[in-house]
Amino acid sequence: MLREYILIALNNLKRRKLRSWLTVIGIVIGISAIVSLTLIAQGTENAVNAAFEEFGTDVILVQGGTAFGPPTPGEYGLKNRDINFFESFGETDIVIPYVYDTQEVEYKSEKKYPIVYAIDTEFWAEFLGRSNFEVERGRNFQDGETGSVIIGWKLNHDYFEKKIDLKSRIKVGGKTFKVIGIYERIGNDADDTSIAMSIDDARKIFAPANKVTGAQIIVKEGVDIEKFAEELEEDYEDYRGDKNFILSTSTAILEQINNILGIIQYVIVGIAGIALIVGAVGIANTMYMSVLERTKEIGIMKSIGATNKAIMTIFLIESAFFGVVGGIIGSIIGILMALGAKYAIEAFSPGLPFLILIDPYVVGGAILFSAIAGILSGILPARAASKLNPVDALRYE
Amino acid sequence: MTNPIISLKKVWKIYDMGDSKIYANRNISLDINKNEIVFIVGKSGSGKSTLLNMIGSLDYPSRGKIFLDGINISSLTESDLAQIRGSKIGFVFQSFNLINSMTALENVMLPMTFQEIPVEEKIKRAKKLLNKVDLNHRLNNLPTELSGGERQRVAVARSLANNPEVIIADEPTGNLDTKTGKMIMNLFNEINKEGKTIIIVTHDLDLVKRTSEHKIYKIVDGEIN
Ligand SMILES: Nc1ncnc2c1ncn2[C@@H]1O[C@H](COP(=O)(O)OP(=O)(O)OP(=O)(O)O)[C@@H](O)[C@H]1O
Ligand SMILES: [Mg+2]
Repeated sequence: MLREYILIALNNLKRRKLRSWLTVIGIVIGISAIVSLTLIAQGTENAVNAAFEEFGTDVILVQGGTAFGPPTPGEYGLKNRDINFFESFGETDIVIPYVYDTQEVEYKSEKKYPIVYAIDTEFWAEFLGRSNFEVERGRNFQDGETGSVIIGWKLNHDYFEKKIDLKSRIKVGGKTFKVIGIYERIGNDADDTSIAMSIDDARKIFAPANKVTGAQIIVKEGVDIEKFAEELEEDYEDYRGDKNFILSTSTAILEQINNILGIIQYVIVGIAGIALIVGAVGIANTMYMSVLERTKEIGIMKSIGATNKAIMTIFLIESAFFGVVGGIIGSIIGILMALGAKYAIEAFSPGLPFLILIDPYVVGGAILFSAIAGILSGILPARAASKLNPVDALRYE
Repeated sequence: MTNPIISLKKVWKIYDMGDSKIYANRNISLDINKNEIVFIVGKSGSGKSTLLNMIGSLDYPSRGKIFLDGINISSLTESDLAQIRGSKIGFVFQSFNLINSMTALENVMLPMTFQEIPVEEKIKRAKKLLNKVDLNHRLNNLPTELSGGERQRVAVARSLANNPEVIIADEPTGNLDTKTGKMIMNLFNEINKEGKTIIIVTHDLDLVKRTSEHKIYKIVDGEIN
C-alpha cells in the first residue's frame, strides 16, 4: 500500500514543482556544506598525519628559549654540553643539533633577509629524511662539505629579481657560497625561501660556537618514546637548572593537532548543521502551506475512507522526499566541492598529499540524517492534516 | 419487519458557539431500510447536510445513537469510522469533490486504495464503473477537462468503488441543468434497482416526484415531522 501512497505523494509534489525544488534547495545547501566540510576536514587530518609519518615517530625535539613558545630566529637556547647530555642516554640513537637565523642574503646586489638554517652535514641525510624538504635539482651536502648551500624553491623563481640557479654564487652574511641544490616546492613562503648550509659555515658567519637553537633526538628502535621524553624532560630540567626549553615528541604534537582539528570539525559541522535546520524549517513551512491548500482535498480523501494514518503517511512521504532528494543532491554537490578544494589546495601547496576519501559513512550518514530531518519537520504538519475534521475540511474553499 | 440498515435514535447535533448554541438537528429518530430511496427535503439551513453527514459517518452526533448495519457508529474511533465510511458508504456531493490532480480513472480508484485493494483489481473495477456511467472515453481526463454532468458521473462511479451498501448524496443535481440532473437521477434509480440504499438531500421537488418508490423526510428547523 505504501507504493500507492508514494505515488499520491509524488503526484502532489509534481503539482507544485517550483516550490518543491525551492524546498529541496534549502536542504541541499545544508547537506552539501556538511558533506564537503567533513570530507575536507578528514582530508586535512589525513594530510597532517601523512606529514607526521614522514617526520617519524622516533624523534624528540628540544628547543631552547622560553617554556612558552618556540625560539625566534637567532635565539640559541641550548649549549653544546646539553647535546652531550642528550647523547649520554642509552635510549638515544643520535642527536642532530641545528641553528637558524635570518641573514642578509645578497644576489646581484639585491639584498633580502630569509631564514638560514644549518646542521652538521654528517647528519644531513637523517635530517632530510625526517623533513618535508626534498632536493629536486642538484645534490645533497656531502659529509664535511663547506662553502655550499641548498636553496628553497622560491629563490630559484621570483624571490630575487634575478633567478638564482644551480652553481650561482650568493652572499650569505657577507660570505660567498655556491648553490649545489634546489628544493622541491613546499607551498609556504617561510620554507620556500629558506637556505640550508653546514653548521661549520654558520658558525663562521652568525652562530655562536658553543650554542645551538635546538636539537632533534632520534631514539633507538623499541624505545617507548613518550615515557623516555617524560624522563628526559625531568632530568634535563634538573641538569639545566631552569625550564627555558620546550621538549616535544611528534606523536604528542600530532595528538594535539588532531585534537584541534577535531574541534574545528565539530564547529564547522555545527555551523553546517544550522544551515540544515534552516532547510528543515523550510520543509515544515512548505508542508504547512500544503496542508492549508489541500484542506478540501484532505476532506475528500477522508470522505472516501482515508484514515488519519493514511493522510499522515502521505504527508510524511512528501516531507521525507524533500529530505532524501535534498540529501542525495547535497551529498553529490558536497563531494564535488571537497574534490574542488582538494585540487585547489594541492595546486597551492604541491608537497601536501591532500587525500579526500569519499567516506561512505559520511555520505550515507548525511542522506539518512537529512531524510530524518525531512520526516521530523513533516510530523507536525502531517499531524495537523490528519487531525482535520472531515466535515469542516470538506466545507473549506 | 426487516432490520433497518440505518437507524437513528434521538439524534441531536448541537454547535456550541460560545455564548449561543445552534441546534442543527433536534431529536431525530428514523429508520432506513435496505434498498430504499430516501429523500430529505427542507429549507436552506434547516439541518439537512448536518444530518446526512452524521448518517454518512463523517461526523459524530452530539447526543443519541446512529446504527449502521447494527453497528453503533457514534461510539467508534475515528479510524474505525473511516474504515466503515470507506467500505459501506459512498458519497456524492453537490460540488462533485473530485481530486483535480487525478484523472477520472484515478479518482474512481482512490477509495479502493484506502481499502488496500490490489492495483489490477482496482483498475478493472474502476473501468467497469466508468463504463457503467458512460464515461469509458474519458478515463484519462482530469476533472477540469470534463463537463459538470461528466464530473458528477465520475463522482457516482467513485461512490460505487468499494461496492457500498449505502449511497449518500447531498444536492447531487444542485450544480447541474435539469436535463443532466435527470440523467444523474436515472443513474441513482438504476443503482437502487441493483440493491443499494440511497439517501438524497435535495430541494428539487420535481426530482422527488419523478422517482417511483421513495420515502420523504421533511426537515424543519432541525426537526423531522
Ligand atoms: N460547523 C458548524 N458550526 C456552526 N454552525 C453550523 C456548522 N455547520 C452547520 N451549522 C449550522 O447548522 C445549521 C444547519 O446547517 P446545514 O448545513 O445542515 O443546513 P442545510 O439544510 O444543509 O442547508 P443548505 O440547504 O443551505 O445546504 C445552519 O444554521 C448552519 O449555520
Ligand atoms: Mg446543505
